[in-house]
Amino acid sequence: MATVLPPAATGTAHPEVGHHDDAHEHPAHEHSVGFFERWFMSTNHKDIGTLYLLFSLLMFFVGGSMAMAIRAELFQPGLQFVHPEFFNQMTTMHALVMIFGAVMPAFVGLANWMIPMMIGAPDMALPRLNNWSFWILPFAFTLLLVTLVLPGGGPAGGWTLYPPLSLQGGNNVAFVIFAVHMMGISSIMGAINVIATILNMRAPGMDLLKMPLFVWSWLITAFLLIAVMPVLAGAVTMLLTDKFFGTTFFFAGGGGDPVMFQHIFWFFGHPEVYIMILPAFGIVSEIIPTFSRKPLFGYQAMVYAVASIAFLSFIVWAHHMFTVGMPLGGELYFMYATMLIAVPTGVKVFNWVSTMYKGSLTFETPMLFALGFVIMFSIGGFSGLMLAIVPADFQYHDTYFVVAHFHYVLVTGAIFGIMAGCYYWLPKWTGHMYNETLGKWHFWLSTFFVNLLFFPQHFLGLAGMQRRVPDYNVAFADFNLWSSIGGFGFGLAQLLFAYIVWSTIRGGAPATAQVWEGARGLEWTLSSPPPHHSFTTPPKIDDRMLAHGDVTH
Amino acid sequence: MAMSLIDPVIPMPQRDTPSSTDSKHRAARRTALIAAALAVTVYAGFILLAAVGTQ
Repeated sequence: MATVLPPAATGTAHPEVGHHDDAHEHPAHEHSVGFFERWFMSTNHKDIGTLYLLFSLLMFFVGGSMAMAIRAELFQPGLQFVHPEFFNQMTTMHALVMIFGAVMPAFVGLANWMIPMMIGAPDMALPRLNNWSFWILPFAFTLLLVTLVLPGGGPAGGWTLYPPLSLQGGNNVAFVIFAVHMMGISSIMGAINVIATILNMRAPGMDLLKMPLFVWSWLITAFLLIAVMPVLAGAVTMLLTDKFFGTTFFFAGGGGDPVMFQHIFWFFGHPEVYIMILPAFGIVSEIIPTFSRKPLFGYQAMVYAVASIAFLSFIVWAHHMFTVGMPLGGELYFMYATMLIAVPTGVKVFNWVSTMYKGSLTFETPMLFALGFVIMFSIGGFSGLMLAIVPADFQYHDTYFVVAHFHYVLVTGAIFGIMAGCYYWLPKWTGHMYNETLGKWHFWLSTFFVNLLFFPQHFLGLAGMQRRVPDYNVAFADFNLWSSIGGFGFGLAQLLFAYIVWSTIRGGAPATAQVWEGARGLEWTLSSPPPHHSFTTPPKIDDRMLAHGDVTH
Repeated sequence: MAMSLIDPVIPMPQRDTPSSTDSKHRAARRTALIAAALAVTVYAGFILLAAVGTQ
């Protein structure tokens, strides 16, 4: 086991790394610029990271409010609170807001904050592009959300936007398509920036196979984004021309094929799932070694596993469409290819567990969320394997079993990963320790209620309850009641998270530079909070100071 | 000042091998252009394939 960095005093960088001037020369946020210039015109990676994270938190509560409307309506059988049309708008918008507004921007925010500090770079490679990438998003989501008050309401055909249903909307179609284009442009520009930064801005000595796993996972995610976001853009462009310009890409009457949309959409959609989970893998791979006080087990295997998962994500898309109909050979191929993903995913889970084995474990809030991630993401993975089995999928398809599966992957997976990262790095960002007791309350309340929310949905799905319905047979009443109680509890628990973040920004016990006893890596050599401009001269890297400097482990 | 949109130039890290700051900026821009070209190609390629496929 490598040596642990001693805590450095707040306001100073670690002297052994050879970069010890920034904190003194540039105290954090010393700038005298006005509010508008700082937050609207900033090209600083830390400020833009903060903007992304705050925007993501806002969208998390907007999307969460829609989920509350859904769960309120499903609290008991019959139509209670909303019209079925509005219910469909809620399911569609909840997904779009959570995927493109909450989860993806949260990971981009974490990337903005942490990647330059982790690789010893002064900023992202393309700072102006960075500013532009963020500021597209508020306009995109304004366009998307404003459809709810347009005549005819918002999109109601599901986030997958399958034609011909999605084209039967009124004014919202053009708004949604334009919004999706803008979200895509924002994501692609962000991904370009990440790639240019990691490939060109690493400090001397920061070889590719010495980079933190979070940086590796984001490099691979960025390539996924560049490869598949244009596919979504192409698909919605064709929807647009079908709707307004007389083309018939997806209109069978004109020679087109609506099933082709599904193939194109899921060629984007499945890698998109991994875009939302690979950075979480990276976060968990940072946290578990820190709180196990051991180097990550199988560093290189973890890198290759992430790359393998990314590659496999391109060749399994049609498992979302088994019931649409395809040749038997196609079904068999997509079934086995999908099951293959369990191999590199299993490598990752094995290595996280092996990292903890015989470690000196402590269970601070980031570690709790990371452990919750490993266990509950695995539950989502197992139900994914069940869905990959073609004959079983014919039974499960379009039921609440699928809803339970992807919420285990995306809530207890992606969102728990984001929460873990926020608690892990919050003292570094703010210079204050968060309230550990409240953090643990947040974890345990979230874990209890999220399982109460989603686990019964497995049984609902197996019993045959369809997804995207506002009413249901009384036979499903009990499980829906529990699920709704879980939903309200989980939603309320997140208000605690917002309070913890707010109170940590405002004050709290001072955080040391290293923050966590077992933390290693360049970001922990900077003061907490780090200077506004860090690593303006490249650090001299001692391999022993890197999280993964000794790759022989 | 690196915070302003007007002058976002930031110092680039020097590597062990001799190279100028300008060359690092150029390298980053080149990487970005290649990635952007890839994205545009994928976008246009999929629409083209769909157009050919539905003829």
